[in-house]
Amino acid sequence: MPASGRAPPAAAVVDARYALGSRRRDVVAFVSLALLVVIAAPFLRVYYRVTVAEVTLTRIDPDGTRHRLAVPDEVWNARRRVVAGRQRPAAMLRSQEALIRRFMATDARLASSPPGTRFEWRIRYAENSTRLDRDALIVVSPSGEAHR
Amino acid sequence: MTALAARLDRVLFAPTAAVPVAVFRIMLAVVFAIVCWPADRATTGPDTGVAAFDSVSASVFLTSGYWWIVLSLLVLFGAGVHPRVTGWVAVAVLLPSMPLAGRQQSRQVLLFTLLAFAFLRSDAALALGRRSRVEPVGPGPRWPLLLIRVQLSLLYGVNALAKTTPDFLGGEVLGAMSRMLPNFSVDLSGGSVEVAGVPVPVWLLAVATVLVEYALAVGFWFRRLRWPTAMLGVLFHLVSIRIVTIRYLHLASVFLYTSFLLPFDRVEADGRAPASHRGAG
Repeated sequence: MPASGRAPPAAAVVDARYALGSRRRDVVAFVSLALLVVIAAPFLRVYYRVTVAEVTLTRIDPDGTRHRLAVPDEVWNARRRVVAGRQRPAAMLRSQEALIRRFMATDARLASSPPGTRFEWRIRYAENSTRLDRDALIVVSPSGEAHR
Repeated sequence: MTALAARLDRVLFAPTAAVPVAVFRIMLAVVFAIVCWPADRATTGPDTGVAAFDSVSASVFLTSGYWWIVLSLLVLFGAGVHPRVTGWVAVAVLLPSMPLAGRQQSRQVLLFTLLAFAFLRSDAALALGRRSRVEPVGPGPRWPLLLIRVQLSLLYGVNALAKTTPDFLGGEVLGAMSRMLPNFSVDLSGGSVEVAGVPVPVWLLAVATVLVEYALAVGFWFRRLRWPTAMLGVLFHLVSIRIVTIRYLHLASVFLYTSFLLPFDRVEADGRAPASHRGAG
């Protein structure tokens, strides 16, 4: 101790035991971060479910003749399949139906079709399975009306 | 202090060694830079569904200026220039970019690692801007590393748990994913896959995957099993790479093995903890 009797300044010494200078602060930081890592843990899941789907498009003439058409990329392409894979079936169907409606609203083939022509979109799908045993049908009539 | 509290105190506040902590800091900076750098355009626009946020954040986080700032912070952090400040500033800068699509899991893992690790005074060794007053007292307590270890276990644990379903263990989910997701390089929807010329049922592959992930979630916590667990983990990721491409998460996971493998415990020449820590329980 110096001759003056005063202790050396304590602030210059870093307490190696604690990251934040006191046990209490360290415990608070530890508990907070522990809670954070546990709460955020579910977001670390990589793959745990998948929706498999396939989309087909059929034109039905007024006399009932069916013609299988290629599915346009805007509605169902590789990129969309990825999204479908990561979505729940209900979400996949919602987004797929929105894409179909948007496509049919602008596509020329609908306007140029003879009266009575319908376009049938069939989405076969399954959750966590490759057996596509569920399906949804979206039929677009010449008036542009789509119904499931 | 009860025996349990004393033991908890030892677990949380045992002192760490300066050099392994510094080595971890340098590796963290390098791995973070590799994972975050959008060189291959794997990181794309935000996908929060909130249009206003997505458009503003895309004009910030997808610019090269933003990533150069991030890289500069990581270089400073890795070099040991005020690593607490640079580490936490890097966390603050990177946090808003979390909604970016692509590599979310690896970025989340490393962001939390950086957040926790920055609590250590990692500039006690191998640092450019080392502060002399830090040297005698070391990097600090072990609890930040403990959190990083817990996160590694959670990473494997939540994935193993999520896969412990009849659909996954039966191989159906793996087959379906290989059909729907573009990062699968092998088609498993046929029910079997050839490994070294031998057909292996997909259900067996699924069961093995889950068992290995449980082993990796738990094995590191047993001192004698650490190296065998690490070897199992490396083998698991090497095999996985041939089936599914999630390379950044492979890298981040294997990097975190070092949080168990590096000799972080600070031991004095006499084999005991420093005097300032005795009596801490």
